[in-house]
Amino acid sequence: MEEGSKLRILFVHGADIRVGGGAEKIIYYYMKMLPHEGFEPYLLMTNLLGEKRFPDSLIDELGDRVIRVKAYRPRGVAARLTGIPYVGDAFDYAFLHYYALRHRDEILEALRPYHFDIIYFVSFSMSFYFPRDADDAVWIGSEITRDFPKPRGVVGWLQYLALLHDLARFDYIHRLSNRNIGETYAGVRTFLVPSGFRSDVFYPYIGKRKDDSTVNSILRLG
Amino acid sequence: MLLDAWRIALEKGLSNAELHIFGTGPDSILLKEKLPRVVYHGNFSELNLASMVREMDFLVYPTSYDTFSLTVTEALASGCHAIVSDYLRGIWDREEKLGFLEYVPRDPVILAERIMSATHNLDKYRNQELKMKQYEYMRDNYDWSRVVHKLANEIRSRVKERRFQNIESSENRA
Repeated sequence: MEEGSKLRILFVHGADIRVGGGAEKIIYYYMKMLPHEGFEPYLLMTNLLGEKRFPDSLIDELGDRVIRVKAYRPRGVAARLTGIPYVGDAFDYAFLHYYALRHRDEILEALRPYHFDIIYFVSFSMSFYFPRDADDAVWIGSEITRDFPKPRGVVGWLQYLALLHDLARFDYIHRLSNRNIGETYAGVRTFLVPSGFRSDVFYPYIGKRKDDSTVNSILRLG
Repeated sequence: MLLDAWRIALEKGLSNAELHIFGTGPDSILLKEKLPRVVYHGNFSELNLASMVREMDFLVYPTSYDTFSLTVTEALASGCHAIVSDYLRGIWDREEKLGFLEYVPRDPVILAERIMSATHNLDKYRNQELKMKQYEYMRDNYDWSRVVHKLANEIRSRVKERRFQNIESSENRA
């Protein structure tokens, strides 16, 4: 790394960022703010989009730093077909890996013009699309979208072992909290950085509230 | 879980409170159930959400799967006192010690009791000085600019470390 040179980082997410959940919000702020820290961030996202909570303008805002690829993650399909959640999850996981093997070249082709210093996987399982020996990029996994599972039952254990296999290819795991934190995360070294908020947007009421009644308002989000 | 707790609290005579539910998700279908004094808001832009959150007194968040919730961060920054599930123990312990947040077991009866007792302390939870102190703490620790700066430093040092290891191993091979 040359002194003063920009680090090129690729965020890899298994869904379209316009889904607009917590993970997508975190990616959005990383994409927006890392350029101020000497990084050149890119986002590889798939076409999977359920409910759209973020506007299309958000993609325009990120401009040509968004790389779109087609993906098939039949999340929930097998569960619905079999009617058994854990069995369904296992099938989904197997389908994902099968699809990844078939479409790996397509994704690598989309990435060919770039050379990334860091590949940051928001979704662990998306790492299956990338051959580990492709370049010398540092691989970082993140627990944004999942806490490390506690295996339950035969299928749970199979999933757990598959996840361990995926994780073994990472150099580091980014943890958001120090809960259960040890030196490693499934044998991979960790570092801790929480997620954040916009202090110019979220702040307490100053002066008189709109609703100054004595009724307590209780909030539940998400 | 939350709606069960709410139903129990109403049965026990809770009358001076409203439950506002924001957002959508896998549990949205459960929210079709109409309960008294519950307002369903759906999704909002961040700006509109923020203006509504600061009108609230408490966040009740009985989650069983979060790693580090933006919801809790944003509610604490807005001056809300947070009542969260003890599944999150280990994540918000500093904030608990400071009195900004408390953990409760994922039990609707206990949650209902906690909601009821919290609603009797309106003066405490609407104290502007305390809210500003809570906000300043959150801003100093979790504002995106600080968080992303920290992340950038961590990543930069990992890249250096990794490249140093690569050089070492290629020298050893040579």
